[in-house]
Amino acid sequence: MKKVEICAPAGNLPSLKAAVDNGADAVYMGFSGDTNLRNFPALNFTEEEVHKAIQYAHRKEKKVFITINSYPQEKELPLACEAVDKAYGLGADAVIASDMAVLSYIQGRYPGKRVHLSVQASASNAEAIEFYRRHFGIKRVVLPRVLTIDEIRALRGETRVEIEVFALGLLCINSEGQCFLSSYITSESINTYGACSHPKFIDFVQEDDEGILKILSNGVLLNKYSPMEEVAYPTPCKGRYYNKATGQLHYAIQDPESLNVLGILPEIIQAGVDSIKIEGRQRSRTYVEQVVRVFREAIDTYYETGSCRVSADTGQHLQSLFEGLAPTYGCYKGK
Amino acid sequence: MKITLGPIPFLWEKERILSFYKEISATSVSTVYLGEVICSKRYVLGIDTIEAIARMLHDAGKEVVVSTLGLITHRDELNFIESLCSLPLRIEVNNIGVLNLCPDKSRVIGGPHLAIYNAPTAKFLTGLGIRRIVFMPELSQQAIESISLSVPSVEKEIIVFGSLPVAFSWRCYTARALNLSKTNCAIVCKKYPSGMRLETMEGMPLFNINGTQLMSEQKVCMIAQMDILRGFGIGHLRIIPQEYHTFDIVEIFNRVLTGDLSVPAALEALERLAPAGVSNGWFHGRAGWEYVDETSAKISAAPAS
Repeated sequence: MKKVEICAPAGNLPSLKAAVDNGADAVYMGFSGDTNLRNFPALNFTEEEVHKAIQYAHRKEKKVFITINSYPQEKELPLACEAVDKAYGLGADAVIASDMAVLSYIQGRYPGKRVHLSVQASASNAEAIEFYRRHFGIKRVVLPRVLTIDEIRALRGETRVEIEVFALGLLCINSEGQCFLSSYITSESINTYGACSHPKFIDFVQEDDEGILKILSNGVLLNKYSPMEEVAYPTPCKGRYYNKATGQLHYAIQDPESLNVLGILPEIIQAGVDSIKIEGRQRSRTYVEQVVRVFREAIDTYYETGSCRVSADTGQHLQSLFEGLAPTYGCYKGK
Repeated sequence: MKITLGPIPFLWEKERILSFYKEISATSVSTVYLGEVICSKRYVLGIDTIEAIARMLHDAGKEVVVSTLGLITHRDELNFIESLCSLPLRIEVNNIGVLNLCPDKSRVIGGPHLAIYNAPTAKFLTGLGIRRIVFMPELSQQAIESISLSVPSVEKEIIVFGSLPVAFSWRCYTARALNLSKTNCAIVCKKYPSGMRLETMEGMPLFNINGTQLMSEQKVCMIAQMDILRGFGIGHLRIIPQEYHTFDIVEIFNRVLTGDLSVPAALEALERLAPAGVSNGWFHGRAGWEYVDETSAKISAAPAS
């Protein structure tokens, strides 16, 4: 039986090696710069590093996918196309893209090459997936985090395109590619610039003697923390706001939480997905090593025994990697 | 340039919707977008009523377009949209999958929720036969210009006034605010015909909760950029309906177009209708909520309430 694939993140070469060595079937990564959605300082790969990464993974018969999934503005388009050339030229097994201009370029220039539709394209229904398959020949869709397991199972019955779903990591509560919260506050769009709530806009300000910490993004207050509270990375969706209709001050959009499907992995596999994706290209080598190892063991156990019980210790340890964030199934179990 | 009226973003009572469009039929609006874009649980009108409203508006000389959902996650939603597509009306597509359901692309308008960030994407979609594109809200002047110039013969539309869409989710934020699940929401959003304002902990208005959508609390206002937009070949100016003053807003834009009202006077009037402030930051490559006043070259912050 073909096992579900583990698609692991890598922000640098040591992380890639950690992913490959600990049981990932595929690793996804991006070039430095704003052609992909983890455009953070000191992250991502130079051409030389991509070359080494692909060599390393291929020697161990693992796959490498290159994300070129931002929506380039006119002047950045040549850069995105150049990244596509480099990716396939260096032997990447697939490019993950979302923008129709980039997809058209791939279709025209590399008709036989494998292309995956990025989560950023927000293809959440069979017709959208079919549109991208018909026009751009996508072989796989990375589903936006807006579908229940039941909906994924239904989708499986409607398309032959491979399905990849998120299993672990930071959770976008809004449909990817359609969220402008960060750009509304900061000016830089996650979709074009490739970074949500970029650190260059974030200020931590100690308010007074009581130790209240204010977190601002481009001067807009996202949250205030008392010294007792754990501080999560400040994206606008995890800010605290006053709802003027109810008078409530709360996490109006999303609680500080992160996705972790370990407890429902069998159901996700049984829904017929081809690949499970771990978020976290911005994370450390240790993170990659640990999460990949846990998921490798869980998946192998599932195919051996029909369940993938993971010890409470392991589960807890996994969640401790997400400081200040509680685990959630997102909407997999219902909306 | 023509004034268009976007779909009503909020869920209103059926009676209110009917009387709203009755009034709209007597205004200078040239095009009316009808229908639900946010949530499939909100289909309160039904196809027969949509058809009846469309006929009434058509008889009043309006172009009528049926708008469709931005986020679609199951087949029932696609089936309903397919039946909307079979009406003899133009269709605004806000989810790329809906394009498959409209064989006659000359009836299709690419709505503001399609990810058209650059000229080749616009060319690709219009190459399929789409008659009009509506610019997505977070584009800068440069992006709008380059897309416009690449598809000169295609109709172009831009949102010139109102709350902007800033996110879609599987989650219903209205239900969340009231401690309900989406499944058992009882369409409670009907009680909030202007949505729910969100302010920062310092009292700055920022977002607005509208069911599964988040909108901007500031109202985008492009009254001072109309000449630039005309220069790009943009012929359709969209106003987003709101609970109050929609007709006043239409009239202000119309009077500027006919030369009966100056832009500064119009801006002043529009600012009075936007209690959380006006914005045009994205157009200027700045944060979306900011307003760049080109006449005085100052950037004004949104007021704290």
